[in-house]
Amino acid sequence: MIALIRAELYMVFRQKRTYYGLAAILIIELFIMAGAWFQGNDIIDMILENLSQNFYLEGNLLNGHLVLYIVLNALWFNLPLIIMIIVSGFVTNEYKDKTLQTVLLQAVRKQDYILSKYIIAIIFTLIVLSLLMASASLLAYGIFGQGDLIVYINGLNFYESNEAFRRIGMAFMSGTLLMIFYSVTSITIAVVFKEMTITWILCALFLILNTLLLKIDFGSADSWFLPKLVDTWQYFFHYEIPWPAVHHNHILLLCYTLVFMGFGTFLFVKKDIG
Amino acid sequence: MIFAERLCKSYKDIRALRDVSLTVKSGEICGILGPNGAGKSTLFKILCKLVTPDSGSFRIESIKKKPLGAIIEKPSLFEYLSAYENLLMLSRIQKAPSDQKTIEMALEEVGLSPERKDCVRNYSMGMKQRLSIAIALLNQPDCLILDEPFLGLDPLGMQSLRQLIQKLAHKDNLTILISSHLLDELSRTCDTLNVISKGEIIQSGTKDHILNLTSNTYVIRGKNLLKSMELKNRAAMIEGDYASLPLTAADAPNLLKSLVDEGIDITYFGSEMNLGQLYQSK
Repeated sequence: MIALIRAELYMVFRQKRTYYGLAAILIIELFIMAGAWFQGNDIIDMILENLSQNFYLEGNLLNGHLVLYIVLNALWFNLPLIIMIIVSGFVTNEYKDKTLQTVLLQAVRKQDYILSKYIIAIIFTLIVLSLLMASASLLAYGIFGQGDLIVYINGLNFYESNEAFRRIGMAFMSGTLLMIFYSVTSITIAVVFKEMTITWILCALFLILNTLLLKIDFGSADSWFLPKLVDTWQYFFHYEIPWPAVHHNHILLLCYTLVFMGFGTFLFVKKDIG
Repeated sequence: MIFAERLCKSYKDIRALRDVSLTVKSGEICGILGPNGAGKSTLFKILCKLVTPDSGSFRIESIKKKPLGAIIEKPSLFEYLSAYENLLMLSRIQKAPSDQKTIEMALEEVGLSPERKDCVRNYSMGMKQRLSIAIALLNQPDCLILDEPFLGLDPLGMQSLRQLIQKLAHKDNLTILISSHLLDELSRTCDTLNVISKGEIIQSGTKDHILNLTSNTYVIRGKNLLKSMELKNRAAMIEGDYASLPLTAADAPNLLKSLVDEGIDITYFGSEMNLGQLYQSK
């Protein structure tokens, strides 16, 4: 299995399309950062307008923390589709080129092969998120410096620089878990539909439905409903972090991830190839 | 040894295979002859465990980790890797020997140069076929399945592939199953032949037996064919220096002798294969 994962990883990074995908993600990030800078100015102006009459505000409020917070907001909305497109290609391209058949004609078990694809998808997502985290932090702190973070969630919340850094880090990790879920789901969709364009369309549909359903109230079922887990990262910017809800959502998301992975593996093993 | 018994497979309303039974012994080259869509690839995919049969069973007798190597339909390679890297990666994933010497020897065995470092996408069809055979032979399987291996090869390529297949079977004792719609190539390469049509094996036996079934028309080229009474008596169709007539393989030597006795100057005497008739010869 490890040999399979290493070989698959080597092949992922030998393909040009992987680098095109990574470049696209970095371009998106740059645009988001530029947007964050303008948006950040507007947010600060709005806050200052209301507060400066009663409070004395000191220091640089448009700082790296605020920019990173705005980047996080935009990233979790824009990143999933591109990650799903790149990751689903790990399977659909092999169906298209019939290299899947070539691999399975070797002494390789079908379940090992598809599990290695899931593991590669997770590793790839972790690499992408680490790159994003590192580059976004470098740019945000390099250009805008550090300072206290001001966020509007159930009222205005102020966090000191160290606390802001800790919360942004945790939010990033929470978002990473969500991205892993999306990439695992894209592999499962690719296993079911095999064809690249259909897989892309269904990945987009899955994301759109998730976003639409997030706004609908399902009463007591809400806490178990997949789309409601999408904005768990926001909990880290509540003044008191609701840890039971955070743990519940993360464990549930992990369960959904494992169920999707198990379903994809079962289907792949059962289905004919070619 | 490959042993299949009463294999059936349907795709929705289409019956791709119907009660296909087959035995190929060690060191034997068995050919599967059939038109496009006859069920050759489906049979091979079942034997390679890529497709599950609806009914029937099969067995590959081997104690190897990889009992069977195969090429199905067309060479499917990692086009962005070199031939060396293709073999290296596919060796590693199955923990087969992947040192430089082994990989280079595998390339040389199929007539590819280990020196070539460019991507496989630049290779000709013949070179891709050879590389696919090298991949199929990784991890030293006991059986080899080659689906249309002569497709896209030039005459020299066909000849060297034929020699390689015969060496693998007769020297290395591999069990080899080959499909093609080129009877001529199969008859030159194989020991036994099976004819498949509409998902059924309709004829099987030695290659001579199958060739006899197809060879009921003979073609003669030569001078003064119109003077031959023997050809006229046998109602041959004669056009200039070309004649054709229905004839059994057993009767062919008698006709040839008669023509020589009549002083006909023969430049060619051979059978014309009638595949259409063979595919309906159940």
